[in-house]
Amino acid sequence: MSTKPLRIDKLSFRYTDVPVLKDLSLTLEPGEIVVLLGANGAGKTTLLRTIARQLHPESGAIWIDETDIRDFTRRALAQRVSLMPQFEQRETSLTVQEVVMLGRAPHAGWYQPWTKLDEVRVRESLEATGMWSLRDRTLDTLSGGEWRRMILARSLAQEASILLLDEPTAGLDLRFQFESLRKIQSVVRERQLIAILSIHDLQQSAMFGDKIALLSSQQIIAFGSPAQVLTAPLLEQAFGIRVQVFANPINGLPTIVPV
Amino acid sequence: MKTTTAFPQASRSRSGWLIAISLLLLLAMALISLGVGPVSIPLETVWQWVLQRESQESLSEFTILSSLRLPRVVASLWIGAALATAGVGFQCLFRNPLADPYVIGASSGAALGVATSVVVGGTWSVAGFNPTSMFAMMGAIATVGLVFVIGSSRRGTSSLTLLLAGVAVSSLANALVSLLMFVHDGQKTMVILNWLLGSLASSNWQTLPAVLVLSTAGMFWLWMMARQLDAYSLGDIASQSLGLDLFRLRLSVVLAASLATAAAVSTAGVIGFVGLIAPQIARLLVGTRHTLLIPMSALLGASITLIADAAARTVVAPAELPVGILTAMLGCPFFLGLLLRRPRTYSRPGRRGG
Repeated sequence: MSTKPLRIDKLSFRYTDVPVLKDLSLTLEPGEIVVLLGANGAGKTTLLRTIARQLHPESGAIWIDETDIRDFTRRALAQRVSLMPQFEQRETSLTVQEVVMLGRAPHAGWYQPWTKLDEVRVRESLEATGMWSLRDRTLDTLSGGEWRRMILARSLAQEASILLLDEPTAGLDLRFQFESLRKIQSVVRERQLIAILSIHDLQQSAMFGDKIALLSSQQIIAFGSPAQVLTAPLLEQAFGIRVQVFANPINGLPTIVPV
Repeated sequence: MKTTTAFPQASRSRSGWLIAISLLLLLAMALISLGVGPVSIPLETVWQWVLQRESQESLSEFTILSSLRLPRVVASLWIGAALATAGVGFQCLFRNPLADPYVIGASSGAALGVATSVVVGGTWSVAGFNPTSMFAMMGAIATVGLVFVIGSSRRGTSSLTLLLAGVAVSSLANALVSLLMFVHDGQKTMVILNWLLGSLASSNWQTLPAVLVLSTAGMFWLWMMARQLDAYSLGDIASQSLGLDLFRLRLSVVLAASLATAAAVSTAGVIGFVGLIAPQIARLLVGTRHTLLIPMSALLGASITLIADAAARTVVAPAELPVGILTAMLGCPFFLGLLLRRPRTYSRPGRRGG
């Protein structure tokens, strides 16, 4: 496991003439969950995909393990970074276990048979996410919550030190939202991973984010603890609506109410 | 590929048996079909021939078996398998169950090649290929190459641009074939038309080796990519996150599947439906894991073509029906039946119950 920070250095990205990210810099430490907040279209998914080298920045660099990500082979990068997309093709009759097994491809390669170690890691990941008993179910029979847990299991099997989760709670009910986030939190703490989550729920951001990065007008306009970032002026700047922030009487975390 | 042993895999080990049984059935059918044709040969004689027990009274039957029936049966097996495997490749590439081996222009390209060679004429031969099969193969490869270049010109490929480029180039090639048929006399038109309908009648030992080698290479190449195809089937973002090189995979699938298709069309013409339905049936039987799906599809494709060709040479004997007509006539109702009772896997995401 890597204990080196992830550094994003003056990153600029554009799809067309309009820049999506401009001179964006951010440094993330291991063992930390960073919640990426921002309005729709602010560039959250773009930033995550750029970190995973699926999109290529116009300028700037991203450093993982003190190496520019452009210097990694695809396989070496996949051993370090795992991106969990918002959506994925689910209409397949591959079983949960077979898909989680594919998480081992960055280690085993595309042609070699799976090793004992691969099987052990897959079993551990399935057990850690509570999916072991569902391992023989095919993907098209999973519920939304089970599917999210399966994706998490695959990322764990991949043994990446950097988890990029794009809206990991979208479409889940209250219980599964919290269960998934708690699971992610415990894994990140235990294995000293770096996790970036994009979530829309401000309450959850406050509960699970060690730090919050607020993305607005192509930049990270604020980066710090929930209490530092979830303030009325910053949220108004990022989301364009007036809000009031007060401390929640139950857990003391910032609570946001639009006015 | 080694299957996992530590895990209970009831359904997958059943798939292994299914493939083994299909292989045995296919061999049995191949033996039986050797006896079928304008001259009916009893199974006993076929068996004598297999054991190489020659006798005076069966000499002519042995000659028919060795030099006419055997190359034809072997060709039908390999061509069916090649088309089915190519079908799996393209269906996975486009994530569309309606894709077939001809989807990005292999058949139209081959047809244009054949039409050109018929119009130009000539009787030369290179490496066992007559001009027709040679031109067919070149036409197929040139068209697919052109489609891939067009489809990937704008910063990386997407499967949709590839598909659309394929449709456009195919239409152009088809139009050119129609033009050639329109401006030339009836006899040449008939030759082109016969080829377009598909037939295994011209299979012989001279052209067979090249076809076997090329189609086997294409099929094996696709099977080697099984794990990558599994990953690719999860979507672009997920498979890239697993370290998959999308451009290289797409290029490899197009090349391997087109190689198999080109080998098949160059000898047998356009045989429709096999490459479409064999993968569909295989998917219902063994699921979508490509390590199993590819061999199962190949076996089914071989069976369908074998049966269709046996029917083609007997239904109106001593004349012959083009095998392409039969695969479509047999395949269509079967496919429709499948479509109507198919679980809704392709139409919507969500639960189907566990």
